[in-house]
Amino acid sequence: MSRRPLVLALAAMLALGSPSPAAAYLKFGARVGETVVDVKWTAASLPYFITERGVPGVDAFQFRDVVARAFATWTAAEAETPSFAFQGFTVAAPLSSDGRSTLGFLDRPDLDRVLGATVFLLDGNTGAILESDIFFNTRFTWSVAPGGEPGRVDLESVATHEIGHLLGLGHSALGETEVVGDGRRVIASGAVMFPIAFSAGSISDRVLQPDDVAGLLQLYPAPGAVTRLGGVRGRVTRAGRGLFGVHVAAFNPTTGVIIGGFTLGDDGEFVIAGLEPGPYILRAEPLDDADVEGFFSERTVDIDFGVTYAPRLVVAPAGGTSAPVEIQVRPR
Amino acid sequence: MTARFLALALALVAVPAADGAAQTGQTAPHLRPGRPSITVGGVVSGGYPIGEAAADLRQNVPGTTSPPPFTLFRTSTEMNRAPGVEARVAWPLSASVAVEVGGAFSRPGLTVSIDGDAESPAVTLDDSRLEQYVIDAAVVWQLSRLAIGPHARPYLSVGGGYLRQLYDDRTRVETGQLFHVGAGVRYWLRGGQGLGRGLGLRGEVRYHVRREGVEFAGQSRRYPAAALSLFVGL
Repeated sequence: MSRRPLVLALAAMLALGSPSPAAAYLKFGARVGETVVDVKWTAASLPYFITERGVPGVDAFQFRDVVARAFATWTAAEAETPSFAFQGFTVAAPLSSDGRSTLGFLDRPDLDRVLGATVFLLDGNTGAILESDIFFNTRFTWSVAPGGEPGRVDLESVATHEIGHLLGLGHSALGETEVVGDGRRVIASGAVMFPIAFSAGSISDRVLQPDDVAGLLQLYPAPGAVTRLGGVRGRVTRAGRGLFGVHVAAFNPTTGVIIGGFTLGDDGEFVIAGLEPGPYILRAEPLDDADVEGFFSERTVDIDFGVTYAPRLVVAPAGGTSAPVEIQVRPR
Repeated sequence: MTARFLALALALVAVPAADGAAQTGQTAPHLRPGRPSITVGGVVSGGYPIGEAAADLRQNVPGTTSPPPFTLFRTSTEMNRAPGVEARVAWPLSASVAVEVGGAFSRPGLTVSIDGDAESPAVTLDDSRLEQYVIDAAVVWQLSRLAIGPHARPYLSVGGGYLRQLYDDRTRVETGQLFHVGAGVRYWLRGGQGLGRGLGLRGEVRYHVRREGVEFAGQSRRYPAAALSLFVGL
């Protein structure tokens, strides 16, 4: 078995914008031979350690408790996630490649806009995660207050986001931002996995949104989910050519749930799975609510088009995907 | 929409009434107990809304896990007026009361309107078609004492049944219940007063209450319908 450290590090939650918009659940992928496989845990249990270091306002025990709650938030979702087991405190800092998954605070003054980040060690033969560390940047002031604290970043919200990465989820693009100074401020978001954090004092990302759960179900499908849930598919084009990197949101007018996906090929095709069966309204939008590079670092993404809706309702059947629909966008 | 159906209903009643005024004194047409009849014709169902919805995100508000919503866009959806066909078999229990079972088919369209999107003008999506099937039963009471002519008699009906709606790609089915009260007129072109087989026209207006089916807001819906058909006694 060969092991190689991964370079997916990104998985950061950004305090004030900067790179990375995202699509509703992007998943991390690792190239194994000629194919790209999902980065995910295959073990049933995931032991983890906590760095025995606190910061002003958060001691190691509080940190442990917050992390346990964040893990519990993900395991409460109806998916076949691994179980998480706290093993104890460690003096090792996160990001050390020691075969142990470690979460803790770390001084990263060089990442002055990054609240936290997740890194992986993968099995080079299968793409399975062997180790994953999460650090929380001491450059910020943190809070574990139940109702949040003005001016302090809520540790549980950021931990919930980073644990989503630890499970293999990428960022979601379900959100709206505005440019403030040289960064971005989140106006609203539809996923804990949106790449830019809410303002300090916010605690709403302690609670998963449907987009997060849909992504989780893609990686760790619950028994029966494949036959119970459905998907929609289609293609986004401009002047007849497929567009890569378009964010497509699927809105169910019956449930009010909105879940996103991306076009992930030059043909502009997309599939959004994990949907409750029923009718959906599809909305294609450019990735212009954060910097594109954080999601598609090796690709150019066209954002010169306006928001466009699919021309008709699209129906997700149970256990299958819809008939394809084409969304034709036009330059702004 | 409702006004149109009411106007049609009045017309259906008014025509036989004028005819009857000129031919008073003749025997009233009636149902023939134990002798079924078949009715085949067309029906037009009125349109009605099936729900409004908002695509909401979480607003950036500190201190709460349930922040107020930020609406990305809003939708409203209508089930459009649709023509259809229906067939019914009636079994008279007496000269004035019959039970009927029948079925209907139509292809109503769904129109989705979207607005409130800061990044897009308001749009209306292309109609999505449904295949709609109804199987129902009704009790029909002919008002034999309400004379509106020698060939025509009004009636009332009440019934209910099963609704089945398929989206146009036939990948998803929604089912529900459909209830109605109605009023109409039978106009005998032949028979209705003796032993000969009856043949005639039948016009009816109905008020439907629909539960479940394709519905985006979890509500019961009400809508009118009008039917015109040919009936023949067996």
